[in-house]
Amino acid sequence: MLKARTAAPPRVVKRRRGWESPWVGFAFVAPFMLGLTVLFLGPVLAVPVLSLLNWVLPDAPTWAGFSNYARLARDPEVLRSTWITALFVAGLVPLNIGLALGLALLLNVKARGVGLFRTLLFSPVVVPLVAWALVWRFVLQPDFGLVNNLLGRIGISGPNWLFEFPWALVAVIVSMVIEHVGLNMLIFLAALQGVPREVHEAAVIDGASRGQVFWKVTLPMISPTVFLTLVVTIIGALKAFAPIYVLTGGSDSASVLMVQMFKNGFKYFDFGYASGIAWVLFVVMLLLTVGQWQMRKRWVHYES
Amino acid sequence: MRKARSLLILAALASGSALAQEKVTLRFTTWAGGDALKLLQSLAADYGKRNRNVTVEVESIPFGSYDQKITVQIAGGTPPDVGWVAERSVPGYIASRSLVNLRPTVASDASLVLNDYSPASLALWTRGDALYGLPFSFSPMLVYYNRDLFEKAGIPTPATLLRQNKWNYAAFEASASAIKKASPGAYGASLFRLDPQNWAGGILAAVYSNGGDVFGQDAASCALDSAGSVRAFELAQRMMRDGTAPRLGEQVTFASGRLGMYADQVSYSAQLKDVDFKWDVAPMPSGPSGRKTLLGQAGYAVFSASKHPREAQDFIKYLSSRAVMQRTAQFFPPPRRSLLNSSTFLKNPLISEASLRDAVLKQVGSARTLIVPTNWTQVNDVVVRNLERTLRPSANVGQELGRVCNEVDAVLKK
Repeated sequence: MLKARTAAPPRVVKRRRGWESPWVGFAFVAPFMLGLTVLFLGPVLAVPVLSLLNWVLPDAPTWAGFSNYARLARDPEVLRSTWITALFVAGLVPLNIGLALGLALLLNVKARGVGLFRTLLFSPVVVPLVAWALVWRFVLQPDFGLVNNLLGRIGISGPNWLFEFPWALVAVIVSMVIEHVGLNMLIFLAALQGVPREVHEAAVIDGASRGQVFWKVTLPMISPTVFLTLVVTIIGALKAFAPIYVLTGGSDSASVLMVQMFKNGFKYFDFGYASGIAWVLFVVMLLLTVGQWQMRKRWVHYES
Repeated sequence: MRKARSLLILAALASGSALAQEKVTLRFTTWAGGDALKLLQSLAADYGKRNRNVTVEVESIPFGSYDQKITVQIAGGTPPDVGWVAERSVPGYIASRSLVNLRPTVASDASLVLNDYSPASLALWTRGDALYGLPFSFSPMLVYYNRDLFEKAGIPTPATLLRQNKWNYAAFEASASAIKKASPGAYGASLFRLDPQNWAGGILAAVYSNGGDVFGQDAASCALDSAGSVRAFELAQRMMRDGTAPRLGEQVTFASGRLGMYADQVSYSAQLKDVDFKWDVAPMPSGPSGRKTLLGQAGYAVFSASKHPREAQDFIKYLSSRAVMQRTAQFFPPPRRSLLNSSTFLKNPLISEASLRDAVLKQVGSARTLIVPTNWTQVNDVVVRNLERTLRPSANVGQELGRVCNEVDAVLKK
């Protein structure tokens, strides 16, 4: 026993030193880094280069300079899609954040059954996007769909939701908010539970109304979380594609820029032009995020 | 001893690699599913038994993404050897030199007698003296009708009207309206498919029979705003407005039993094997310009980048032989005239001989193939994007189609 105990420490130390070598760490990270490089960094770096080529499959690529970008600026379909995208983001982001925050406030109580509500509201998040969209396609049918059926009972003849402007946009936004709101709600719930009770109590003792407590105490305390969800939701909205395409089949009324990119890249095989659209979208996302980062100093408090 | 053993191993390796060189695996792509796919698989197996050195792997790709996948595979240097090609994709593949000219092979083979092929079936595949594919399907758009719904409405069926020489688009519209009245939970008829991307199916038969067209001469200009085309789209608009036809996006299929009449090809019958209502087929109605339905075509082709073009062409010869086409005829009306009129084709397990004669044989003569420009995908998207606007109850169809044509003409000039 004693012998073993005295002999053990140096062996353990030796082995640990071996495992702690940075090379071992690199070896563990390598598979992920390899995947990241090949499947993510490579394409990200390739896209701006591809956007300078005239490359339509099955022909070989030729140098095009900035002609793809010149075409973008003149393409009426792309210009229209830019507006649709702006409307889509402007509709989806406030609705998603507002609803998520409202639900989080409602469910931030200790009561019976609140766990059930939280689960129910979160459950759409785990449904695959395309399956979700397919179900909505049935719900939003013009004649025998659930929505128009209910509207019909109260004497309203509903629109053809997935094809008419602006209803297609409304339908896509609402279906996507319902699917995603649970995630933001959960993040807000976590933030709300991080707000110390004493601060609230102090505010109430000082005579603050419920509204004042929310606007002057709670919201500033969770502003870093609001900032995070805002950035992530805007990026998510800008790159939303699958549910929109499955729901509307690329019809004009909800054809956002991602749909244009898909059509040009994977239907017409115009990779140069599609890369141009992708790169423009990327730059817009980057600028928006940087802009928000700069503005956060004005309204984000209590950053650690 | 050791030397002898290593020599043996070497010999075994050498013979193995020699065998591997002889052994050829052909990749054969199709969008067939269900029983049609099973048939193709058994044909491929049969071919493998006759040609011991060749194995044919059948690969089914859904129609919606078929050309997408094939194009990417061609660009990536891993194309299939043999494959189905749909008529709308033929001009694009020929223009990009993706298909092998089969003429030398076909000319040298006595059993293939090109004279047996209906001339209209080869036009699409021919450029000068070259022949870039052999059609296996020559399939006119026809009307499927739900006999139960007709009976409930107490109106004569299309077959009856045909015999009385009254089967025209006015009768089509009136029948649809009567069906809707008798069965409010159903629709009278649809000239469109479930997927708006496939809008060209039924409506083109109405367009042609009304004297309209999709393109002008040589597919160089848009003709969707011509008087005849506008008349056909106005018919569709009227039926949607009256509620006798499902609007775009309504998820209703003929197989559900809630659609009185529906335009599709013979191959669709495979989906009606187990339905619990009585149905039949009839030719498309006639219009002011006669009965001119749309002819769907598909063929076998060898891809230029195939590493085994010789074996691939030999496999096509096998598939196009009289004996094999006799077996595929159950799903695909054969382009070989000797077979189209034969008893095998007319003995369909689901459709009566009389109906097949009326709906397929008698329609084929006047049917038209839609010959498309190489950038059909873009043109198609323009139409799809504007389809709802064109068919909206309040729309001025002529004006909307005029706008569509402006856009299509811009695409055609690119």
